[in-house]
Amino acid sequence: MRCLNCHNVINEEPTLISLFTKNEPLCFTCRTALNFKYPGARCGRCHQLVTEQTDMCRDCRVLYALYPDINKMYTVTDYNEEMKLLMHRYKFVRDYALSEVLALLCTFNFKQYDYVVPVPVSEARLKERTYNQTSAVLEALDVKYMDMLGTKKVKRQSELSRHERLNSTNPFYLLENVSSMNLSGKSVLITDDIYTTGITIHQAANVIKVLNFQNIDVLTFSKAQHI
Amino acid sequence: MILKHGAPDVMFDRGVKNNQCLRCGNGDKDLFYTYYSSYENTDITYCLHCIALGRSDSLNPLYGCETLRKSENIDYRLEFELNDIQKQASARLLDAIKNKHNLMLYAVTGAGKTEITFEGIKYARQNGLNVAFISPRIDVVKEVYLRLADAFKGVRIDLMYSGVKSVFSHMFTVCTVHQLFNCINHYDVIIIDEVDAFPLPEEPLLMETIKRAAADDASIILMTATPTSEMKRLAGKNNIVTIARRYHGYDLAVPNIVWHNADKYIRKNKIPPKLMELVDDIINEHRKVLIFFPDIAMMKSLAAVIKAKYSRLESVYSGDKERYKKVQMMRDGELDILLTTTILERGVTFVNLDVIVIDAHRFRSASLIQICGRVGRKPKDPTGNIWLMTTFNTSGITKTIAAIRQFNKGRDAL
Ligand SMILES: [Zn+2]
Ligand SMILES: [Zn+2]
Ligand SMILES: [Zn+2]
Repeated sequence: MRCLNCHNVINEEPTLISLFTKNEPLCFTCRTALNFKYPGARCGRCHQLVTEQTDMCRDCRVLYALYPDINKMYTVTDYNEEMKLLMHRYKFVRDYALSEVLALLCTFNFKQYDYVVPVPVSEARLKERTYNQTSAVLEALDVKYMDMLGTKKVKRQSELSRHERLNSTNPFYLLENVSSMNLSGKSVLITDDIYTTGITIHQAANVIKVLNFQNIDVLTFSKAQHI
Repeated sequence: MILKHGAPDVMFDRGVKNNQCLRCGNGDKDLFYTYYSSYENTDITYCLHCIALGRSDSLNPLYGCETLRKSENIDYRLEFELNDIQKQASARLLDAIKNKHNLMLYAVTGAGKTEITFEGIKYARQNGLNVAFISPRIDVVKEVYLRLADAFKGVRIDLMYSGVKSVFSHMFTVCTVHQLFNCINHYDVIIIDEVDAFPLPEEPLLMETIKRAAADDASIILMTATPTSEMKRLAGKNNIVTIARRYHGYDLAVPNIVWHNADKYIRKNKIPPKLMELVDDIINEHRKVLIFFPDIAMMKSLAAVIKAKYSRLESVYSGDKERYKKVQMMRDGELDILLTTTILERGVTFVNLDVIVIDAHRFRSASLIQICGRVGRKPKDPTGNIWLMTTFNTSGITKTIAAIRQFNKGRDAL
């Protein structure tokens, strides 16, 4: 078998390590490099590294004031060099196989939610990429998800300044097939690939709350650490 | 032909067809990936082997342009004259290019191999042959590019390696092996430096990539200090040139074996006593030392304890962002001791250098020969000392010492 991240042949002779791992297309070296969190104190809400442990960092307070819809936020890894390379290949070189790699890193209990909703990508982006990078990971994980959101965004997130992003009108809208649903008492997990400023996911939550969810949580596969 | 995203002409209507990647030639089923795209409403298969250069898949065509050949009146200047052995090798290389056959240059480390190719390159370009000078190692690619650019003043040379692309015409190119994925039946002369370096021996597919990039009657020139039987076969029996002497004429240093269980001490966060003795002696002699480790973890544990004792010391590994800066500090004499993984086994030259290898039994002979080749490269310090620290003898160690002895006797070890 080959590792889908580095393409090296994975040694199939039983070693001490392989005895404890399943037969999976991710080598030990890549797993260690990708399954990574910086040491240090963190914001209890968005998991940003901070100088002193806090329940809500400055960024969170700004976002929370604007969009107070999210209850808990989770993230799988920190966005280190290795993850950056992976995401680039996954999203821009269209190396779809990496959805399996991300799925292998993602040990998360999705069953506790009634609904799992991926953040959508624009039609133009979908045409280039041919897949939604977040849905593909959920599919690899065998998680049942539901598309509830659409996006009219065309400009790349990276082309907007932080100020523009905060004040940009919300690009998300509810898809027609769900817009008349009442989901009071239900819980939802909104899922996205990378947490950078957090604005995207807060805007998604702000649109979805119209459906009267009792609880809205968030999961991102990787958290960029601005230090 | 040269494949290029964004070029106007369709070269292949699909990148992947019948379990074969038409760009890189990959046919290994483990190196393809298939998924169902609900957007395209079909299964898509793509090649993992050449994904680093963009995706070649079963859906989209490959664009590119046909091979062009154009002669160019180029010349070079050398700062020094080749010695007789180098001149002979240069003539054989020229002859191989003229007669369109392969050649292996089996040369000791520090033989001045790059300069030996200049005459052949000049002939090739003057006769409209496309030339690629390639290596598996980025450091080697950079170094070779600088030396070619310095000698062939004013000549446009393409340079390509991961993340860097400076291309004029694909007629005279210096690049890593992986960059050849986009070239098919294109180069008339391919010179491979350090054929034995990772990952060429480990990835037989890469050798196929090179052959695919070569025109039908191309000359492939293989340069190495540790040839394999496959390389010998590719060159052909009568097409092997040996250079057993360094260009400065001195013998290669023969390694000393030090029986010592360094690992045992490092595990206990102690400096191995025999290592400390050696390093102290080297510092007292006002020399510098490279200390090689078989893995990063071991190097880091020792670095943590040894730093307290020696201040002019640093450590480097492949992922180290400060790597080039630290190597430069060593060159500039700001450091006495540099701890390293095999990343520095090739391509670096320091004066007054000695070398110590920790757990030498864990190294291949191709690596050890390169490591031993780090010392005595300059005429003003033509010898130097090598210590292989080990707890038992291996065929890698035995082969290394035998090959060096043979070279010193003026014989090749083939
Ligand atoms: Zn791997
Ligand atoms: Zn926060
Ligand atoms: Zn390919």
